[in-house]
Amino acid sequence: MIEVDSEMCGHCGACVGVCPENALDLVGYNIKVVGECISCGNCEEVCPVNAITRD
Amino acid sequence: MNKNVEYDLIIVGGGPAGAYTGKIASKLGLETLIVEKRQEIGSPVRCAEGVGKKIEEYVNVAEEALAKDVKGARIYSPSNNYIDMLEEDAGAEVGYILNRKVFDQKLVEEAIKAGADVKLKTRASEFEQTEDGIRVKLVNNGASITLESKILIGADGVESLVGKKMDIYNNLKLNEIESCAQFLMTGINGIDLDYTHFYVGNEVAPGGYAWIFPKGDKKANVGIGILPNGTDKSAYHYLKKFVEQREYLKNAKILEEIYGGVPVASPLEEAVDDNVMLVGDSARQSDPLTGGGILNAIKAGKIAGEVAKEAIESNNCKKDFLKRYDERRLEEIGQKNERNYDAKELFQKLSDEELNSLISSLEEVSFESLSVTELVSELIKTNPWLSDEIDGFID
Ligand SMILES: Cc1cc2nc3c(=O)[nH]c(=O)nc-3n(C[C@H](O)[C@H](O)[C@H](O)COP(=O)(O)OP(=O)(O)OC[C@H]3O[C@@H](n4cnc5c(N)ncnc54)[C@H](O)[C@@H]3O)c2cc1C
Repeated sequence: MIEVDSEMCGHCGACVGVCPENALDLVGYNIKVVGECISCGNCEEVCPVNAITRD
Repeated sequence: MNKNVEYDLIIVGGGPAGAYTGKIASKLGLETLIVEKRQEIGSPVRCAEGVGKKIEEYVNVAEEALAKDVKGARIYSPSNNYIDMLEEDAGAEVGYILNRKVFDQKLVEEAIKAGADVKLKTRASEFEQTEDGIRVKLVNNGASITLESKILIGADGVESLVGKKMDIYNNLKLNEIESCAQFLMTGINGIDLDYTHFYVGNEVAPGGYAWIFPKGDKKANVGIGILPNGTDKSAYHYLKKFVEQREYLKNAKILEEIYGGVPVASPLEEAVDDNVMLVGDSARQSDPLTGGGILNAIKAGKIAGEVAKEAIESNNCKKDFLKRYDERRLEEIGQKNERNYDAKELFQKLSDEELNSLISSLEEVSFESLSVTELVSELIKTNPWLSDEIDGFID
């Protein structure tokens, strides 16, 4: 699973574009986990502001 | 027509790709709806706003949409030597710096004038193939509505929910996306703001470049793009470092912070399925070498709008018919993108020493146009070893 720091997030949607499970969505100003996260780390790597961490 | 089918075309996304597709399709008489999940077209801006003057072959750039007409581009090596490319002809890749928010809104306005419906704060969330088209679930201000359309256009940018849900392609890999951060800064002093400025190097921007795109009145977009698989640090980290190290930004202040991802992938072989076409960033149409995607989004929008009209007229919106969109976009955009993808793959492997020597090899060259194609073909002429890795730049 991942955690998104919504105060750091720039709500740009880059993480949505690299999620291989289609598990993320940008809804309003929030990145939401809407599917099953496989902890691949793509979103964490692409995030321009380091707002995403894997637990 | 089946009475459940409300539209000929539902377009997901109100960026340049969606707006232009909508304008063309509406002009050709199609009943068109553009849905945009944001509450304001064009905002937040996710762009450095540079575009070649070729854009004018497609759209009239209104005065309010134009921030700056630049004279040339200055490209810096890692050791801080530079070469200048001056603009002399219309083949320019970067000639205008736009006000994207105004530009995007004008494009949507043109689509509306041509007859398109537009719904803001409306997110497309589910898609289902039906006999006559696609049923689209929309969430508008929290309430769901379902509409049916003969053709669905995915113009939903880098996120590309449409492409993924319709199984047109899998996701962008980490070497196919630039992770970007940008500050709109004011009070810049000591650099020629009639030029755009590009900085390359593994210290400055691993797998990408840093840019200064002037917007007039001592303001500029100061940004950076990196390939996320080449470093542990974020684009924001590199941007802060870049800003701290430039004397001319010492007293400059930030007016806006911008983040985003740009696809830098090779062209999709297929961007269509039964009753669906993908346009713009959602079809990975931005230029893999420069990251520029505005012009390609518009070019593809024109083709998609025309093909939608032909398909509906022929009463065949299936994949076998829509494939003509693929054929035309691959010819008009894909070939160049394929070539620029190879160039990107090569350049990202170069060391700073190699970049220094390549840039100094061009010091005596005078350029006829401000285009990346010309830059790369001059590099190949002067450094023939490059041609083993990338072809197609010199005719
Ligand atoms: C930092 C940065 C700098 C850039 N600099 C340049 C540059 O200088 N020059 C250049 O040419 N290009 C540049 N680009 C690329 C350029 O911004 C894109 O190529 C261009 O915006 C693509 O247009 P589009 O219409 O395909 O997508 P977008 O402009 O991204 O529009 C997609 C729209 O779809 C909406 N959307 C997404 N999902 C849904 C949904 N489910 N329902 C409803 N709406 C949805 C989004 O809200 C968005 O408004 C840059 C990009 C970035 C990130």
